[in-house]
Amino acid sequence: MTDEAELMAAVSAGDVQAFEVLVRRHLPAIEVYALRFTGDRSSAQDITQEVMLKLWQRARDYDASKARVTTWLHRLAHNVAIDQLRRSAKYVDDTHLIEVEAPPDLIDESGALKTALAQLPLNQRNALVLTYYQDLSNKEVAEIMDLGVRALESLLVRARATLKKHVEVNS
Amino acid sequence: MNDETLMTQQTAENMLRAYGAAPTQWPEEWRATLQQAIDHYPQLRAVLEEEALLDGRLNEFRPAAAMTVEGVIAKVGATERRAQSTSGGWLESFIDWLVPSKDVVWWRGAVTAAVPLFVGVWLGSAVPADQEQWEGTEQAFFSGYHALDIGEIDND
Repeated sequence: MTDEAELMAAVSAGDVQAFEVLVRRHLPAIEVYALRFTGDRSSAQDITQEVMLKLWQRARDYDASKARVTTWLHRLAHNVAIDQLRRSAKYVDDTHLIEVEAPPDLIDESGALKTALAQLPLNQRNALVLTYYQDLSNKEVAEIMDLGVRALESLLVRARATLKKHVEVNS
Repeated sequence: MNDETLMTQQTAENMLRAYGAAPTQWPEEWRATLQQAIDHYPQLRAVLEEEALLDGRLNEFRPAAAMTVEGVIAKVGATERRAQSTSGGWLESFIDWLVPSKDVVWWRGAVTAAVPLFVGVWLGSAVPADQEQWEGTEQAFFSGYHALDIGEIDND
């Protein structure tokens, strides 16, 4: 059993210290994932908080033979984020969102790219963010998104093609 | 390297278009083969440069995390306490009192549901029935019924 699997077993038995260790390890990655995916700090923090609550409440559901803890948490975050976006007024349909204005604390030299990311269809944006930024393998991302690896690669090609057009126009 | 192990130019281009120009982003099992293909097909250099430009822009988007571990844990604790004090809390508390374990899930509810059955069986076997009283009641009932049947009861 891995160190993280032991920690998850301890959390499922109500061990608060084990929970704190796992939160310390995974909190920044989940928050930044949610931030890149939603483009909104308040939504990202709500998503992250809910994921950490689920980590405490549902640790017993974790199966170390099926996924790393980080993959399991990203899957929770993915599902929470999609649910939240569906409830939001910004949601249009399963693949699209109305463009989100970049909040002031996220506007920097990458502000233009962030806006382009926000305009991508949801599944393309999620594929790109999970694969490029989150230190997950393509198989793990495919599993998080309930896709095959081929379908994931197709989403990535389309997402990068759209972003390249945007970068060319703005450079 | 022979042609059987060499990735086709189209496959290599698709991989670069999906994962970008940085070898650290390529799937681990394809890294060596993809690098061989890039070395073999000079046309892929242009694709590599194009993707490297986008990678550079993606690398600029590094938002900082702002949440604190202490804040997150405090909120989780508060949510748990709130949930325990609202509806359903009494049932959970009863199950916890009856079967004090967090590890098992399904059979805790089953044990709780079976409690009334066990209490009924225990009462049925432990409390003696008053046989004489029941026999008297039974005789009175059936004699009245029999009298009605043969017309011996005076309805006046």
